[in-house]
Amino acid sequence: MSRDLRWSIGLLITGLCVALLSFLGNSPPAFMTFIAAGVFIGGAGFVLALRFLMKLSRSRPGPFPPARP
Amino acid sequence: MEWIASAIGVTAIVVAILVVLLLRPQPLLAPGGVALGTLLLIVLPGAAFLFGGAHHLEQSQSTEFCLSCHVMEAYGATLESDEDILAASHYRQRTIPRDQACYACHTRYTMYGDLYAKALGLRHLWVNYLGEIPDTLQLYEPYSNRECMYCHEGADSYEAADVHQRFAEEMERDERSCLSCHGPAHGIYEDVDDEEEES
Repeated sequence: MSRDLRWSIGLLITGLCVALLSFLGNSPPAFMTFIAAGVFIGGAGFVLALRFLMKLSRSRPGPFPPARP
Repeated sequence: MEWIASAIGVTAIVVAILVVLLLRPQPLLAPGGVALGTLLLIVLPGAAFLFGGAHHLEQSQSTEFCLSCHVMEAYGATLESDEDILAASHYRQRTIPRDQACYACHTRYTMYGDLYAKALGLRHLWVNYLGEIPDTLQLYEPYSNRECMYCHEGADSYEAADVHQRFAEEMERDERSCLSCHGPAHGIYEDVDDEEEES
């Protein structure tokens, strides 16, 4: 498994678990915790996921065969 | 709408899917993996964060949320005051929803009023935790009559008062504040309320 994919999933799971914890509170700290989880941890996970997906799509041949010269 | 159930449900399901994916990533590396990866790594977690954001935004409108900050305790106390204070009369007579007592008056009743209120709320958070809280809290700008009119305009009790018709144009231009007759709003800093009345 690629390092990007592993880190991406790990960060997304961490971000979502922190977000779940933030649902327990109804106060500004809970709100800030959610923002930190979503923007920073989740955001980093999204960036790595995009990088993994772009690498994956580049490494695959397209659906059509190359045009004949 | 209550977003809490959706937020918890979607987030928990997405976490479970991601844990499975961490243990068995083979489907992502097989043909069609890009589409599957986009769904499982981008769309579903994005949806979970959106539901969570909706829940927190909804929750941030609650009275409990606003009064959880120490600096707001004095304002919360005025809601249940027996004195003739505008905030207390609205709260006691239930003319505003008790679970959204602060938000009912301290938002803008315009197209992007909610977003504006949330942006100011983020600024409050910044000042509360990382800045310096001023000794005397003041509104960023004089309270607009528009917020009062959102509920009162057209109401029988409002229309029946001649004085409202007499000053209608001035009030519409915010040249005469509703608080000049119906204040103080909270009665914590009388001098601040007086300044607002003068403006």
